Amino acid sequence: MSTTEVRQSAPARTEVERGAIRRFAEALGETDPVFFDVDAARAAGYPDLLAPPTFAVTLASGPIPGLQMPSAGNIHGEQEFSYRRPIYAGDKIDVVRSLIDTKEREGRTGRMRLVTFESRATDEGGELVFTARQVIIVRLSHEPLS
Amino acid sequence: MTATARSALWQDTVTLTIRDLVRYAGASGDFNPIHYEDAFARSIGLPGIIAHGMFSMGIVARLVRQHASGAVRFDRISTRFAGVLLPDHEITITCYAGDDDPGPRSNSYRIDARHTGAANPSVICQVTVTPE
Repeated sequence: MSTTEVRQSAPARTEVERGAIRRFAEALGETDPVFFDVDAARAAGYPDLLAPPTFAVTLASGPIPGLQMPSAGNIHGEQEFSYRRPIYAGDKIDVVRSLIDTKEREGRTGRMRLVTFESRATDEGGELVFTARQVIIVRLSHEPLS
Repeated sequence: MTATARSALWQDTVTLTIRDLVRYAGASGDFNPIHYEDAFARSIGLPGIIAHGMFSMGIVARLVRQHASGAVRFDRISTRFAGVLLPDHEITITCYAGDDDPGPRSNSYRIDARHTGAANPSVICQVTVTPE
């Protein structure tokens, strides 16, 4: 495989629903009405309900060709979001996810594979909304975590 | 500068129940069983059910917003999940001035979350916000 080859998903679109934002904000313990009440959000200058910043993680992304990941038991190692603008209800957002790197490492809790992804999210107008970088840890052998 | 050299800007505590984790699983669509099935979590070497890393990151973002003096826009959140956070254990979240230079209009913070009294943080966040 060429080192310059980037494996990436096809774009996956999410239409951001008000109910999804409300449920997500409620689960985080948010109480600010800009997450729940359209009038309050508009009064605060937003076009519709504001999504909490980490709502970005719920947006769908398609499979990456040739990438096999275990379906359960993976652990999140790192997560970064860089936002160009907030996400609002009514947004139609396309996410393209790329496999950047995989490496195996012997950690204090056994052998693991670190898989790094980057995502790029754009709106209907093709404008960038956010980029994300994520490291997922696939544990290949398990000794108890301390 | 080391972490101990700075004073905290604010500190808060939260305790998450398994019910809270299940609610977050439903709202986020993250149904990894390590967040609600104790036997499965133990079978892969975890100490039991653990909180979603993204749940802790979301709570940190909520607290940053709630402790801000006015509305803020998030420019960047970068998080390292260094350890686990367990349900039914009190978590202390502490905010310090950040390591990044955020520019003249923005503010950067370093926030860590750990089990109350623990020597090391489980979650370390770098956050940059801009007042709206």
